Amino acid sequence: MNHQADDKIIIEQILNGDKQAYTLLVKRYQQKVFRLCMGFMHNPDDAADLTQEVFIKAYQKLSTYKGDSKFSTWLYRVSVNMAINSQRKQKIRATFNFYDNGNETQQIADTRYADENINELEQKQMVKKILDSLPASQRKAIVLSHYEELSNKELAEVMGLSVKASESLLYRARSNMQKMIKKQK
Amino acid sequence: MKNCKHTEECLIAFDGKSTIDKETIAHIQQCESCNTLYANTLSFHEAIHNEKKTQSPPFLATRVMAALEKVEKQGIIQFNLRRELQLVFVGIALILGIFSSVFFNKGHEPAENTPVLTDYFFTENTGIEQQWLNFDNYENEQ
Ligand SMILES: [Zn+2]
Repeated sequence: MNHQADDKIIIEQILNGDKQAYTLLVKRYQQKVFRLCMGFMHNPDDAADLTQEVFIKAYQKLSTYKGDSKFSTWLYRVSVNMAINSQRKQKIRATFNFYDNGNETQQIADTRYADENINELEQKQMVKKILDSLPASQRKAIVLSHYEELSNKELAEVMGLSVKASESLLYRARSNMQKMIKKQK
Repeated sequence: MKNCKHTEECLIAFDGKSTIDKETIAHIQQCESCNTLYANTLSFHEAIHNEKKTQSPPFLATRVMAALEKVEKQGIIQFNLRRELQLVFVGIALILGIFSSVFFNKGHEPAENTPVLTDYFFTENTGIEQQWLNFDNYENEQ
C-alpha cells in the first residue's frame, strides 16, 4: 500500500477517535516538518518547538483535510503558514523585549553551537539574514524548494498557485537572494 | 567568453547541486566579482545543506503526543472555566440590575412630578390639543 492511501486510512482512524494512530503520522512526517522548520528558524531547538506546534495544529484541524491533495501537501501548507506566523511573533517579541533586541549574531552564536566553527556560524547567519529579508511568499517558496526539494508542481500545490506562477515566484525569490548574496563581503 | 550578466543568470538557477557549464566556469575564474559571487553562492548553499542534515530530536513523536494530551486537557478546563465564569457574570449582572432598579426608583419620587403633570393638564392653554379638539372637521371625520 502506498503512503498516500495509508495516510488516508490512518486519518480516518484518528477522526473515528483513535488518537494514538496520530503517532504514526507524526513519526512518518516529523523529519520533513522539522527540516522545513529549520529553514525558517535556523536553530534545532526552535525548529523542534515549531514542529511540535505544527503537529498539534494539524491534529486540531485534521477534520478540514478533505483528501483532495496528498496529506504531505496539506501538512506543508499548515507548516509554512505556522512558520511565518511564528517568525512574525518572534519579531514582535524582539521589538518589545530589550534583551531579545540584541544582535542576531548572539542568538545564533548560542552555547548550543559552541562546537561549531566560526565559518559555519557565519554561514548560518548569512542564510538567516538573506532568507529573513525575503517577502513571506518568496521565503516559503525557497524553503519548500531548497530544504524540502519539492518539484515546481508540488510547490504550486502547496502554495495554491499555478505551476507558472510558482516558477515565477521562485525565480523572483532566487533573484532577490542573489542580490543579497552580492552584498555579502 | 561568457559575460557577467550571463554568469549571474546561471548562478540564480544554481541550487548547489546543478552543474555549471565550462564557459561560465572559465569566466568565473577570470572575473573577480563573479568569482566572489560564486564563492558566496556556494557558501550559502553549503549552509542550507548543513541545516538540512540536522536530525529531528529523538522522541519527538512522544513529545508531540504528550503536548497534545496537555493541550486537550487545558482546552476542557478552559471550557469549563469559561462556562463557570459566564454563570458568575450573569448572576452579578442580575443582582446589579435588581439593586440599581431599587436604588434609582428611590431617587424618583412620583410626588415631585405630579404638580408638573397636573399643571399641564389643568391649564386652559393646552396648545395644539385644544386646537385639534375645537377643529371643525373633527366631527365630520367620524
Ligand atoms: Zn564577471
